[in-house]
Amino acid sequence: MLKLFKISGDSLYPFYKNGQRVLCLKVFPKTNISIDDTVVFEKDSYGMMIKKVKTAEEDAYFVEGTNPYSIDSRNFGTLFKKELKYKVLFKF
Amino acid sequence: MFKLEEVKAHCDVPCGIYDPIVAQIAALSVIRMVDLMNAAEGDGTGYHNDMARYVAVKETEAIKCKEEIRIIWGDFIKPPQIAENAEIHTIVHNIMMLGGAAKQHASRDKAMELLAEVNKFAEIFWKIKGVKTKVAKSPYAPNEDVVYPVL
Repeated sequence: MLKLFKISGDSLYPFYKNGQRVLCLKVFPKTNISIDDTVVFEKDSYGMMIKKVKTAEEDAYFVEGTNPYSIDSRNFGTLFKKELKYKVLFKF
Repeated sequence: MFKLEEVKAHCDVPCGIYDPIVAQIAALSVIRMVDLMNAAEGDGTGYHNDMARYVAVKETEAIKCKEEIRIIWGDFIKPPQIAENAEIHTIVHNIMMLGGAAKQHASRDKAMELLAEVNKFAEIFWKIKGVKTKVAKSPYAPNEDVVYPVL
């Protein structure tokens, strides 16, 4: 249900900084995912990633970093909800 | 005690260090090598040594030019920027073709075309970055026009 992650990288700077911890809630089919939520997902060779939801239309979630060099949906397209593993509750 | 799982806020590494100047200098180097080849005189060992070196450098710089453009095009340019700069694909393809031509031939005209296309690419790159540009002669041979950022 709940999981802690440590952030590696600066693609969400200044909202989330390299080395910060986030407490996350597991995403279930009925979990509400809205624009500006921060989500954790696993993507191909990149491994577990964390990004912000920019648009959420039906079952297509476009996720982006705040850094223009972020690797995100601009590279690999939208995500299905089943690909979203966790939703960030808060950082510390 | 226990190790937290890492979650990647992934950027390209090193984060954000892209600059077309490397490709521009490579294109200038190709022109310079062609100029040196055309100016070379003699038929002795020294001449052949010089010529071999010019050809080798021309080859290396043409490859570097293509590689640098490929990296920026592939890693930095994103779909929204492509939508705003639809000509970018044609420019990159032209650079790939002209980079190949720079290796195959010793044509100054072709080398100048390569520089012109790389300059067009640089102009778009800096526009995306929100940085103004200017055109100035390179302060070294072959003293050709280069698009520089105004910083």
